[in-house]
Amino acid sequence: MSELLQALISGILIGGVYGLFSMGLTLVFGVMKLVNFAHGEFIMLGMYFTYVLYTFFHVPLIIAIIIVVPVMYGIGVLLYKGLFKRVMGHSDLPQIVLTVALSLFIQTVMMMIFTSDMRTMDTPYGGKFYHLGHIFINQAQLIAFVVALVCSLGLGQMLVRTDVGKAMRAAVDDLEMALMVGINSQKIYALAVGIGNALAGLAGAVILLYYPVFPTVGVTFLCLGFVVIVLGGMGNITGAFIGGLLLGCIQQISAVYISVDLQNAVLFILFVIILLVKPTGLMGKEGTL
Amino acid sequence: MKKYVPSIALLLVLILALVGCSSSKQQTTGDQQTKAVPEVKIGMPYPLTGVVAEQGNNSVRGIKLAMKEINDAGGIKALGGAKLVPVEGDTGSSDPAMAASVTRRLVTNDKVVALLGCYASNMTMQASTEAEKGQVPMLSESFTDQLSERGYKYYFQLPAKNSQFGQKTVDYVFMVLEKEGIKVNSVALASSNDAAVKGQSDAVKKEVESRNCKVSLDEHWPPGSLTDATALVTKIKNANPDVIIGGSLGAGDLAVFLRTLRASGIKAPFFNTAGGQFVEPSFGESMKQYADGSFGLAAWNHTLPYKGLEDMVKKFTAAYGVWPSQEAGEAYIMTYILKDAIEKAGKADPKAIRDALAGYQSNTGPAAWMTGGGVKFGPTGCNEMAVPVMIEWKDNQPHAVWPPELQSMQPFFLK
Repeated sequence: MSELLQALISGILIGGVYGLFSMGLTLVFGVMKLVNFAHGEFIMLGMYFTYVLYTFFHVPLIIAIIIVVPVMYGIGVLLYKGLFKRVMGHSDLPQIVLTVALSLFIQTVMMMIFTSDMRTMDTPYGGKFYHLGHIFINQAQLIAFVVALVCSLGLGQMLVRTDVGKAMRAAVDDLEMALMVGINSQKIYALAVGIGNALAGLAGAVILLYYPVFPTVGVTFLCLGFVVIVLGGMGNITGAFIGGLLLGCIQQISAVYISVDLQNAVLFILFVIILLVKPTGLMGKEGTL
Repeated sequence: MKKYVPSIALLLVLILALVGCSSSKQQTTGDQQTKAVPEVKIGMPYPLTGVVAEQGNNSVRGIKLAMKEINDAGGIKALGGAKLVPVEGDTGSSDPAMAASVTRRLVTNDKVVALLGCYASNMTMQASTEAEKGQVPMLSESFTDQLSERGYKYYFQLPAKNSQFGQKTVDYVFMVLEKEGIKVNSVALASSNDAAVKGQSDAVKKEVESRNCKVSLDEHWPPGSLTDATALVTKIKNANPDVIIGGSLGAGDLAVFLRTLRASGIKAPFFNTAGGQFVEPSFGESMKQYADGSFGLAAWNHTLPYKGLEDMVKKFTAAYGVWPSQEAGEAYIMTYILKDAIEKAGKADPKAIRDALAGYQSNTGPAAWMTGGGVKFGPTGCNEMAVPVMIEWKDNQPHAVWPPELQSMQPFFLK
C-alpha cells in the first residue's frame, strides 16, 4: 500500500512540472497551430539561465527564477517576429523544419558555450527529503510542484478574466471572426509564443532544482510534453496540466508495478491508444484553451 | 563534335598524367621525411563537440601538455630536435562515419605520421580502419574487444580490453567487501538498457549467481529517460540489497538515481559498471557529496601510487584548473609512447613508427604510470600489462582503491 501511495505522491509532484511545460507547448499549438519541436530547448535554456544567474552571479534562487520568466518571454516574442511569423499560414512542413532546425541550433550553441558537461545547482533544497513513515518526498520536487500549480492557476485565470486572455481564446475558437471584431492576430501570436516560452523557461528553472542540465536535456522533456498534450487535448490548457499529473502517476505506477524500463513504453502505448480512440484528448474538444 | 573527340581524349590523358605525377611527387616527399625535419605532425581525431565532448577535449589536453613538455625538452632528438605538432580533427559525438572522414583527411591531406584517438570505441572503430588503410599507426584509449580482434597491424591500445573489465567487476566488488568483513548475500542490479551496459549487467548477474548470491532486483531503463528515480529507489528499498551494481550512459540518469538513492537513506555501496561520465571531473562537481562512497572501474586514475605521477597531476591541474581524468592521463602517456617510438624509428615515417610500436615495451617514464606499471604491446596491439583499477569517489575526486598494489586510499563505506 505504501508503494502505491509513494508512486502517487511522486507522480503528482513530477506530473505538475510536466503539466507546466506542456501548457506552453499546447498554448502555442492552440493559438497558432504550430507544433514547436524546439520547446524542449526552451526548457533547457530556462535551466541554463537559472544556473548562470544562481551559480555565477549569486542571484538568490527566487529572484533568478523571476528574472528567467520575462527573459524567456522576450526571447519568445523575438522568435515569433523573426522566425515563426514567416511560416504562419504555410503547410506543416516548413513549421516542422523550422522548429527542428531551431532546436538543433540552440543545442549546438549551448554545447559550444557550456560543453556537454552535466551541471547541477547546489541549492539548499536539492538533496532534502521529507520522510513520512515509509514515504519520502523530495523537497525540490515539492517546491517545483507548488510553483507549477500556482502558475497554472494564474494562467487559467488570465485566460478567463483578462481582455488579452479573452482575445487569445477568441482567436483559438474562430480566428476569422476574431479578426473581424478587431483582434490583432499578430499581437496574440507573439503573446502566445512569449507565454509558451516563459512557461518552458519557468519549468526549466524549477526542474533544475532536482535534475541536472546539459545541452540535450530538452529532448526527454519534449517527448513527455507531446504525450501530455495529446492526453489532455491539443490546445487545451487545463487538459495539459491534468494530463501532466496523469502522466506522472502512470509513469510512477508502471515503474513500480510493471518495470522501470517499461514506464515510458506504457506512456507511448497510451499515446497511440488516445490518438486512435479519442484524438481530441481526454479533456474534450479541440480548439479550446 | 566528332572531330574534337581525339583532342578532348588527349587533353584528359594529359591532365591525368599531370595529376599522377603531382600525387606521386607528394608521396615521394612523404617517404623522404627522414632526419632533421622541423616538425612531426600527429593527428588527433577526437569528439570535440557533442555528448562526449568533455572526454574528447580532456584527451586533447593530455596530449598537448605532453607535447609541450617534449618540445620544451628539445623535441625528437633522433630527428634533430623536430617539434611534435598536434593536428586536431573533430569527429563529433554521434556519427562514426564522421570519425572516418576526419581521419582520412588527417592522413591524406595533413600527412600526419601517427594518430592518437578517438576515446569513443565506435569512433575508434572507423578511424582505425582509415589508419590501417592509410598505413599510419594509431594509439587509442578505447577498449572494446572487437577493436583488437580484427588483425590490424597499425592499431595499438593502451587500456585493458572490455571483457577484462567485465570479469574484474564482480571479483573486485566481492574482494573489496570481503576484506572489509561485509558478507554479500543479495545484490540489486540497476542500469540503463543500452547494449553495452545491459550486456555488462547480464554478465555481472551470471557471475553473482554463480557465487550463490541472490539477485534481489534486476531493473533497467532506456538511457536518458530517468527523469525521476523514486519508483526505482522504492523497489531497491524493498529489496534491501547488500550491494547495488549498475550505471547508465544517460547523462542525467545516474545523477538522479544516486541523489535519490542516498537522500532516501539507503547506505548500501553502489558499484558503477558503465564507466564514461562516472569517472569525469564534471560528475564529481555536479554530484558533490552524493558521489561519495560510490565505486567504479577505470582504465587509469590520477591518484595511482606511481613515482613522478604526482608532478604530472600538478602540472595538468595548473594548466587546466582540473585534475586529469582517465582519458587525459591515458592520452598523455600515449603521447610519450609515441615519442619513444619516433625516437626509435629514427625517421618520421609511419611504417617505421608502426614497427617501433609493435615491439614496444617499457616500464620507465610516463609509460610506467599505466596500471600494471608499464606498457607492452602484444601481437593484437593490446597493452598486455594493463589491468582495470577500481576507484571510489571522495571529496569530488575518484581515488584508486583496488587492487591493493594500486591503492591510494582505503575503501570506505557509508554508515
